[in-house]
Amino acid sequence: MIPGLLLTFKVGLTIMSVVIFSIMLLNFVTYLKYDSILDNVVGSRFLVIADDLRQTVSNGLDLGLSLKELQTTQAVIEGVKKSDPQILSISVFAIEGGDTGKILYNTRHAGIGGSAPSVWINTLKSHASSKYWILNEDNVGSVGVTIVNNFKEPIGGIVVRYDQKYLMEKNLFFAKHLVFYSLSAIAISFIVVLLLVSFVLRFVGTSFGNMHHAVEAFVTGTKVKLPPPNNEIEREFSTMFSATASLWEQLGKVETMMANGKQVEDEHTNHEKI
Amino acid sequence: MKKFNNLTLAQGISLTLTIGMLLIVAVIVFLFARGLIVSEVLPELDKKSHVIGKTILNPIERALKLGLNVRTLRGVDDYFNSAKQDNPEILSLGLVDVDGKPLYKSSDPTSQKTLSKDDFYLAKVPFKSDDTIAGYLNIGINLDTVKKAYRDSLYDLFVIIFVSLVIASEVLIFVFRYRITEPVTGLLRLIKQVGQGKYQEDLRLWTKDEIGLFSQSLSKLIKKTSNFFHRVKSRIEVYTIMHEEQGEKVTQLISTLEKQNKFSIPLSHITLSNIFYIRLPLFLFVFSESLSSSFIPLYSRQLLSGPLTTASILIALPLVSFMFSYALSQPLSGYWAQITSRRYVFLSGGIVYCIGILGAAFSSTLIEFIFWRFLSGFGFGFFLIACQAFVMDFMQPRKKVQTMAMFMGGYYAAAVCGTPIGALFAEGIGYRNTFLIAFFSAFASVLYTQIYLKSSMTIGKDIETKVSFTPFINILKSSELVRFVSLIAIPSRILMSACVLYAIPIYLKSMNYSTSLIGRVVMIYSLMIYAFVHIVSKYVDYKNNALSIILLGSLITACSSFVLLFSSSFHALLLFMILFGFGHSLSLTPQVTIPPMLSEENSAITLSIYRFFEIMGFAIGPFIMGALMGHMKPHFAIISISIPAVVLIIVYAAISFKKSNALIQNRF
Repeated sequence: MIPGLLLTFKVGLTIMSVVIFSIMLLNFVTYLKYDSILDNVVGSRFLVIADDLRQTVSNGLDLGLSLKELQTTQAVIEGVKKSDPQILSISVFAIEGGDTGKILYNTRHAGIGGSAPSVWINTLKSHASSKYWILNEDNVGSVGVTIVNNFKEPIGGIVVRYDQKYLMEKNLFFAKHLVFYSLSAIAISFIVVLLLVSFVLRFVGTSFGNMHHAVEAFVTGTKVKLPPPNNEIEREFSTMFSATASLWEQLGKVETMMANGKQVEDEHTNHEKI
Repeated sequence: MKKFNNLTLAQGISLTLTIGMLLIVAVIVFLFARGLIVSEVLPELDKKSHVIGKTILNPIERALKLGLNVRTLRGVDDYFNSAKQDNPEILSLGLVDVDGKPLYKSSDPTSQKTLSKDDFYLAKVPFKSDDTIAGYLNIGINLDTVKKAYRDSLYDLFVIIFVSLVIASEVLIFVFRYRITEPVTGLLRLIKQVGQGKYQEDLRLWTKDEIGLFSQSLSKLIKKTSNFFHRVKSRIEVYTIMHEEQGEKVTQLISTLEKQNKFSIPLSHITLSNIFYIRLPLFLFVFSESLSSSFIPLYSRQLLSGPLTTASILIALPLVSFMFSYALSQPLSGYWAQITSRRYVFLSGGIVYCIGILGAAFSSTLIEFIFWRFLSGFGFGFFLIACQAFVMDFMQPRKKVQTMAMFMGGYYAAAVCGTPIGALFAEGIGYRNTFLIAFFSAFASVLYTQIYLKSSMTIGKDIETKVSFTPFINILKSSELVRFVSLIAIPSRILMSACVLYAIPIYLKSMNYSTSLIGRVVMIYSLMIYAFVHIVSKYVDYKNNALSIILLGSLITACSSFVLLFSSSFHALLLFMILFGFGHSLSLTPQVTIPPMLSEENSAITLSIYRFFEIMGFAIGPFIMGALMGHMKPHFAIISISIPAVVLIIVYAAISFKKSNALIQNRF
């Protein structure tokens, strides 16, 4: 193994983990911003449509007609739906009594005459002071506007429902590109970081790598010749190494002496036996 | 010869390298993302412009169908003006013929302004007469929303880069200390020891890199040498009996070797431990708590349903309950930290906090949230006391303020990072999910303590282990300390929790600012402390004038609210936060070192009792502010709570400063 590689790799990995953390955070925030801008721009487009329809209906009401009597509304909303494939449905409903409503016109013919979802009525009432309201269901976004009579009393509403799958696809496309850019930048920077860290920490890793190999070789009985020391720790190691080697040598001598002595004694005993 | 203090240089270079890499990669990704946003959003903007254009063109096309000439239409300018009023995002409207010659345009004052290309998006919508294109409607759509989002992204980028730099320096300093600097220093000491013939100790490192491997082989060498010696020595006795003459020679040789060297079986182990080892778990833990610090009152308000939504005191309760249990935990955990391993206190505190924060994430009512915050406060207190005890184990008498600054520096570095990031998360993924992220961060800190600090934690034996109220009473008898706590410490904590944690988030939200901006503003407080704490502590240690600096800092903090007398604008609020944070950067760290010097009691006990009162101040703050904000505007409430603090500081300076200062100078 190349000396110093482990240390370099681990320090490099630490640096990269910080870089990756920051990039993930940046991606996350950028994605959220993109999502909110797109949601705003697309949502407001349907709001313009809903508001234009409200204007058309209000013109009819100004002539003294009731919502029920504005029969051309059905054709108008169908025409608008046709012009934008993202629109799922457009409904015009009237408030009946306190908390219920009836759908008067709908681009889905089956819905005409049915009761308006209570969530529309509740949202309309809770947003009495605002010009519009927004509802988000699963994959479907809805923008609603309130229809008021000449006494400024809410008498109904228009709800434009649009497909949010389109937005999700766009978000996914954005996220994929963002991840791709980030991964590319991270991969390049990882290589650069490894190279630079190995340059910075080479002396530490190499020193300790060499000393480790020298000790391992010594312990297993292999003869070791240390390179000339380059720094303080290598110098101290060299001193320690020679002191230990000399100690081992002396202990070895004693051990050999004792072993030889025993050998002589054993030979003497054998002679006596013979 | 090259010295190994090149390591400091290596650490510096690595930090610079990380910062450089971070900046480069972040800016590249940001620019790419920005380009991508433009290319994706503009077509949508175009679609929207066409819808608006078609709506505006409807009456014109109807008129043309009736046979009118486009050049002779009347009232088009007025019609455009009213269309602009109905659609505030339209900056300009103009009708041109097929050759591009202008026919009509909106004539209100905003249209006369010279607009730069970046201010609007120009869409061209065709209109027809007799099924042929008769001209175009040019619509200039205001790009304010998109530009505001860009601006916000840019601020977010700055925040993210700043936070990343702080995290990078925390992590890198830890990694260098843990992996390189401390092991190298320890190994150098051991090598020198072995070089002098001491084969008695080894150094146990858990790292598996070159340094760790070397330490293992060095241990092996020391152990083998010691074993070798003892093996030879054990045989000598028998050998001497059998070979008298030779044996004497060998015995002499061995005793000379034994005199020159020292051997031991088994070896004793040196464990490295450093004050910096605590910074990372402290950082992660405080980071997790700071994630929610910019929105606790807002989350409380969300949980409080029905007509009580405006009850400011009720909204303050989760903050109060956290601080209250945090205060209660101080004497208890302080005592426990003395009789058991710091690690147990760490772990129990960490686990209790994790449970609390998880509960907070899933709270469905304000009552539940208050309970979970109470539990979190308890765990937080235990964890922090264990950190503090760990720091105290390493504290050098002449560097008290600097050692505490290391602790406070870690604390505020985490607060600086956690607050804006938490606000960003809250805006993007909601309050509950931000609590979940906080849980993971705290859990990581607990895991770290369990894995890495196993052997670094000692059992404190510096005080008596008997539980007794006597020290409490003794401390209360120390009039100088009582004055310091009641006139300086408690008011400064009341101001902090009341203004920074409670009033500012609610105030900014009432001005319709986003959660991420609230986070950035709250961050200023921690940022000021983080920026100045080290310089101030060095200065105080050098000059030995802690009390004067505390008084000056407290006065700046208390008076900072007077800025709001002149203006209650956003910029005035920013200035207030800067001054408030700067004042606390002067006073907070030296404050912790004062109580032991004003009391005759054991310093650890004094400190834990002082902490109790100090945190009670934290607990009272939001409560008082909640009551004040129920009756007056937020900026008046901030001014009102500051006035008594100013008075108390002046009273302290008049009646106690001289005596306390003399006491401190004597004991220093």
